[in-house]
Amino acid sequence: MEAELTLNTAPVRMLCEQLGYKVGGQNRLTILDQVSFSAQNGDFIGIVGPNGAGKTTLLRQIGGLLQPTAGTIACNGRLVHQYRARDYARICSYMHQDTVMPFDFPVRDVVLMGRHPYATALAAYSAADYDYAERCMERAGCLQDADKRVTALSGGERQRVMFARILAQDTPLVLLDEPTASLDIRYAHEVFRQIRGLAQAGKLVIAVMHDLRAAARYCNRLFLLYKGELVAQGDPEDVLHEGHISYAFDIAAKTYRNELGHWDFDLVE
Amino acid sequence: MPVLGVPMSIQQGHTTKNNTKLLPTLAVGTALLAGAIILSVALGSVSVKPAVILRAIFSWARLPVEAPDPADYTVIMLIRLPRVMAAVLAGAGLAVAGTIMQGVFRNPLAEPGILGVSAGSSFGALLAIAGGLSTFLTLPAFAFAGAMLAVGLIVGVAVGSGGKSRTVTLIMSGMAISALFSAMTSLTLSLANEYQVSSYIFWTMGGLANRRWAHVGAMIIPVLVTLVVIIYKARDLDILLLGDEEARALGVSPLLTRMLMILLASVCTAAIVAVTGPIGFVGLIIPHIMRMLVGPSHRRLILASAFGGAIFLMLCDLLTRLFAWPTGAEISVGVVTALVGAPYFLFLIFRSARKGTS
Repeated sequence: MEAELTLNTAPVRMLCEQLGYKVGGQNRLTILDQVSFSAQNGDFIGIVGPNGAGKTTLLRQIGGLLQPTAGTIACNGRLVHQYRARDYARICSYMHQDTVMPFDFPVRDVVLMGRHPYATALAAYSAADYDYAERCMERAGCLQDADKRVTALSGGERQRVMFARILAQDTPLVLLDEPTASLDIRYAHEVFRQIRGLAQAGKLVIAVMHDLRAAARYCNRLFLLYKGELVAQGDPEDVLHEGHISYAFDIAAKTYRNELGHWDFDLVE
Repeated sequence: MPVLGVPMSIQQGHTTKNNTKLLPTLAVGTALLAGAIILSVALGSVSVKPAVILRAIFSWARLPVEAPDPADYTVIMLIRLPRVMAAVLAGAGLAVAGTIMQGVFRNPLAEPGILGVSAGSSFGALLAIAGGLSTFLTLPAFAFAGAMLAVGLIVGVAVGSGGKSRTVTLIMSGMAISALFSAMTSLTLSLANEYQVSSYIFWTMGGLANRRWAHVGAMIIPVLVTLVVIIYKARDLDILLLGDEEARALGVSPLLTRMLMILLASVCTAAIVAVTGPIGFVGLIIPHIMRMLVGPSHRRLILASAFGGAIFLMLCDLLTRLFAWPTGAEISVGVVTALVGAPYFLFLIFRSARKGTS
């Protein structure tokens, strides 16, 4: 039986207008340019595009981890970087590609860190926090590792722990950077199913997706980034049009429906 | 999630195991510390019975007990107890500061003086000695001022350069400023006379001999404030271990948290080094031993490190006193901590190299 989680689905509305991000001195390098979109509860948005297109940079902007150099990004009518860190941590959670800890924390304690934005400073985590973390670990498929040391885990096991931590943070906006990059096909499917469930329950999920088949299958909306520009957005199968793929990835592809009726593609030699 | 097949027994095995409780650590630590204090005060060139020690302390507190022999009272209250309490505060403060620095820099080999305190306090102490201003309170004042100047410059450079909270910027500016202070120390040493050079070298070995209540008073506030604030902020330190961006996404501002912790640890270390001279390895090895005993969660680790550091330094100092009494040779406590600590440090280096981590 799947562990029940009472999910926070408070309203979130992200509004991004003419967002730009440049780095470097005189010959400034453009990472993001004139990106505009809006998104709200219930969407599972996948960000796709070639390497270096600015996918992670866009996600970090949404998460308030980088300040834009042009344009605005606002959550519920307020600029993201004007929130206090603790306040935004109750609205938005962010899962990095890989998180390595230098000391031997037990998995349970790492998952509990997701409850930090809600805990008062001096009090220990409450019994309810422990209980919630336990159910998150079950959902993420890492309950059997609860008492292991996080430094002793493989990359895939660690990624499931970090996903459990994101579940424990239980924010209405969830940002994920390639959340299944280290997972085998069974866990990848399970985690994507969970993520889609979060969006269907009313959260807003935005994820960087490197696997186009998974993006087509699980997301209900895609952003295609190319050289820092948002060149296409909308229904997955419209965004993953053959012309878009050959333009963004510079490779000829043939798209089709496979025997199970899922979107698929193959590369043309 | 049936596909993952989690047995119910595992789910029920540990529901609300709370491993951040402070009370057991506090109880065990207090008992061991009290025992070690009594032992340290009792042993020496003149042994005193534990009952006499308690009577001396009670009569100092004007409790109605039979007053001890005045000679015993003097040995206990004016000679041994201030020295023992100085060891307690110095050991606790160095171990806590070391734990903080290892957490803040996400590096198990960081030590309390890493951000300029060591180089700055040495230069300050040497200025006091070479300037003929070295009394039992001006020398610590100079050493403290030197340490704070170095820490201020390092933090100022790191913040001013726009590197903000990045640990690499802090470490690099720390290396540069420390090198600058070491060079000034060498320059001053080459201009100083032989007596000044040897008093400086004696200071750098670190020691607790002849420390008075005034020295205890100089350390008590920085050490206690650091301990209390860090226990209050311990979970922020845990979360900082995930990395800066992860911490920010969990509502912990990495810049503010890191700066607060670095400043507390540095002021605490500077106050101690000013009083005792540099004492190595307490701030490095005690956090590691305590991490093995109570785990890496900082709320308990900080408290355990405070007790562990206090007891370790006090017992090392007791060894120097027991050695000095029959031989007449006064060895510095820094020598003992290093003799115990250096081999352990090497062991850590070998182990972390073998594991391929550091």
